[in-house]
Amino acid sequence: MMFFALSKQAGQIAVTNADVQEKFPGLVQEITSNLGAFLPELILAVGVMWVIMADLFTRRERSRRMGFHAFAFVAVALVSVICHGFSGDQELFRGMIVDDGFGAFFKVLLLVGTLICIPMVMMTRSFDGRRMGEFYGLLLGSVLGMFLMVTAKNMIMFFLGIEFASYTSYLLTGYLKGDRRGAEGALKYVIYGSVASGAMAYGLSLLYGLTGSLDMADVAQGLIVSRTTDVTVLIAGLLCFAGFGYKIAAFPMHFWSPDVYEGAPIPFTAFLSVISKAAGFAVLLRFAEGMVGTGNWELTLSNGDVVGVDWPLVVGVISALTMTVGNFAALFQRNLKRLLAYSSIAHAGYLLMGIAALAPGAENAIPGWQAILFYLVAYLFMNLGAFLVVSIIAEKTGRETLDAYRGLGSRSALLSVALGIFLISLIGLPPTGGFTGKVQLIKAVVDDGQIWLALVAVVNTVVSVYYYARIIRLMFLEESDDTSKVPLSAPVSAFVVLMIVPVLWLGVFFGSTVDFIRDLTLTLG
Amino acid sequence: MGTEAYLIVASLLFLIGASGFLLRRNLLVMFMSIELMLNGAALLFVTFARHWNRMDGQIFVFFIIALAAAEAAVGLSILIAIFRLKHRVNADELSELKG
Amino acid sequence: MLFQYAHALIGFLFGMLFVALQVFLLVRLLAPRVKEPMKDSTYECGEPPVGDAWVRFDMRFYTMALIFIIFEVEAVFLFPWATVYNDLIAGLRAAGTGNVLFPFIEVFVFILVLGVGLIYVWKKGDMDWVKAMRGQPKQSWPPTEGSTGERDVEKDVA
Repeated sequence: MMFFALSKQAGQIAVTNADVQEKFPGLVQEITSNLGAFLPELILAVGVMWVIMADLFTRRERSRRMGFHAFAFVAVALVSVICHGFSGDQELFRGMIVDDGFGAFFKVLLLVGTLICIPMVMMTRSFDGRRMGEFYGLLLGSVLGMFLMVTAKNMIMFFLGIEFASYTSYLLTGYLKGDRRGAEGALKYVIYGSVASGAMAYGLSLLYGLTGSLDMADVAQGLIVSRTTDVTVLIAGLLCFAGFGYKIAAFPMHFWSPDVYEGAPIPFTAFLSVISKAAGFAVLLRFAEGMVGTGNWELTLSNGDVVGVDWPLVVGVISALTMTVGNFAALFQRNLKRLLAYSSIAHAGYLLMGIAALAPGAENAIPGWQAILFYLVAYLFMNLGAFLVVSIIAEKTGRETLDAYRGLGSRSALLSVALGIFLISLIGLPPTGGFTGKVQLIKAVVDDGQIWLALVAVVNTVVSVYYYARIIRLMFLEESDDTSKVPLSAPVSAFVVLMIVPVLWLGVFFGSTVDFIRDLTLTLG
Repeated sequence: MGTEAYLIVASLLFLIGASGFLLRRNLLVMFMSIELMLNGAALLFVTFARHWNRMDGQIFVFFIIALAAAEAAVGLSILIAIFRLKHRVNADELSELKG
Repeated sequence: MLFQYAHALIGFLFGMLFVALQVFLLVRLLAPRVKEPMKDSTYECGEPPVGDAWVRFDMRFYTMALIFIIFEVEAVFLFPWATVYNDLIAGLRAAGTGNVLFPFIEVFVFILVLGVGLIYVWKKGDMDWVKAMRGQPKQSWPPTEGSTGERDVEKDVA
């Protein structure tokens, strides 16, 4: 069986008692000195336990207060990430995780998103009368898992992180026990998610077998050596992609997401559609960057033969299929939550364009990963903003269907203008962050020479105008039987305005963010 | 008996699990199939750890075992929640969400 | 030659002795004695020992099994640690740097996190066979007057 062209190695695993005695003291020192850079994770871990335990000793009526506790822990973690800075460039815990600007950027992204989601949870009335400690505990646990995902360098850590984030998400989706849609969404999520993680474990084990290492950098390096086994590399890569693609809801692992998004409580749908997706992209980027760094990403010529797997083409095809499937399915949706689910599939497709254009091509080209990072920032605010408005409307009217938005323009100017801005940004029209982000992505693909992919993206954008603009037309051009004003409290209005500001800001003053992203350090993994 | 024999067994385990997942409609059986897939991956890790003379593959297996247990716990508790609502554990009857 | 395993043999003998002591002596001395027909029936993990084996299992077994499986599997992480523990301590002693208790503290933290889970399950009442429902006093098991003692399957799943 020459499936694996490996040399047989003999002998025992040479670890003796003396080895252990000799090496351990150094390891202890390393672990102790690395704990400082691990502080945000430790804060979140303590937060998970604190929120769960504190809730046990709190009366049920006061259980909602756990939201403040969770908020405080996330805020403290955010401060500690920012204080630690974005210029780290070291491996922690013997190469298990890395401390670099790329990871810190994603940590800030995840924490800011969580800070937006927690007030949304506290506004949601369907959680009334329930114990909320578990919800926040699981939410913080999910963020902790994503932290490990975005900084993982070793495949053990990365697998643990992705599973940790997934299991907590399964439970949060079905948190409203007794809600049929929630339970069904959770079950679909857990079944498809488990299959994806099983396939990914198998893919990782194949990579381990091909390269003999679990370190991502070593894997990327080792794949060059095993160039003769292209088919195995392709199979292993695609099986791993089942896991990543599942997290980011890319075709063909996207089918769970509309059901899960519709079944889950709205604040958690928002969390899934943005934060979980961002973490998935971080992992995918780090993995792919490692292969780019070793020149293993594109086809190369050696001895006149074309060898290797053409990953840009593979990812490009997946990207085109993902955005097309998402956009065309979104055309026929009547439920806004479900519509946004399909729209977020389409956005995963747009973001994948950046990965297809990772290899630096022409001069002055925007490397794909910087375009992705910028788009993720814009996407965070515009999509969470859209979900915030959906959540407020669902609270006030009890409906999630498009009918609830008929004539909203005259019922609540703020909500309708806000939703209008978020939708324009989701389409990718100026002057919003969605526009500048999408331009960067398309420029990256064009610079890389994949004109066809840019064309697919433009056509898809035109298609997406139809269903986004339909909502805007419903709000402003159609009359509703119900003309009563939608009452908004001052904090909620401020919250909505607070979401609009960054969307517009990224559309006009995008320079500083672009520069910030360019200066991030990326420790190859 | 070289590495190849173990590779074949591991691939078979994975394939049995994958086809079980695709063909069976009982949710419990589907979960069992997923465990089988994970076990195939775990066996492959041990095989390669032995082949490359490294320990990290075996450590990975510890984590796969623990994660499989956690997955079973999460999956079964959600399954029980569904069963309480519908009194069915058939995948084809999950049809509340569509479109 | 074989004397190196003597401590294992001694440990084994002591273990047997301890179990025998507990079962036959301590229990006699300490446990309250209640005479009941149920106590004389064959023990079959809580299921009636007579009748069709294809009964529907009590839902509560699932909860117990789920709790069990989580804690049981975590033990797998303690075995590698226990295997090298002596070497770790010896290494730290020899180097003279760092806290000698470090390996112990590491595992202590691990067990502490598990302990939080245990406290959670305990406080939630999932360890009790008859879980106290909200607003109802806790019932005792076996059931006293008023209930038949047979499980009502439909009620369990509803």
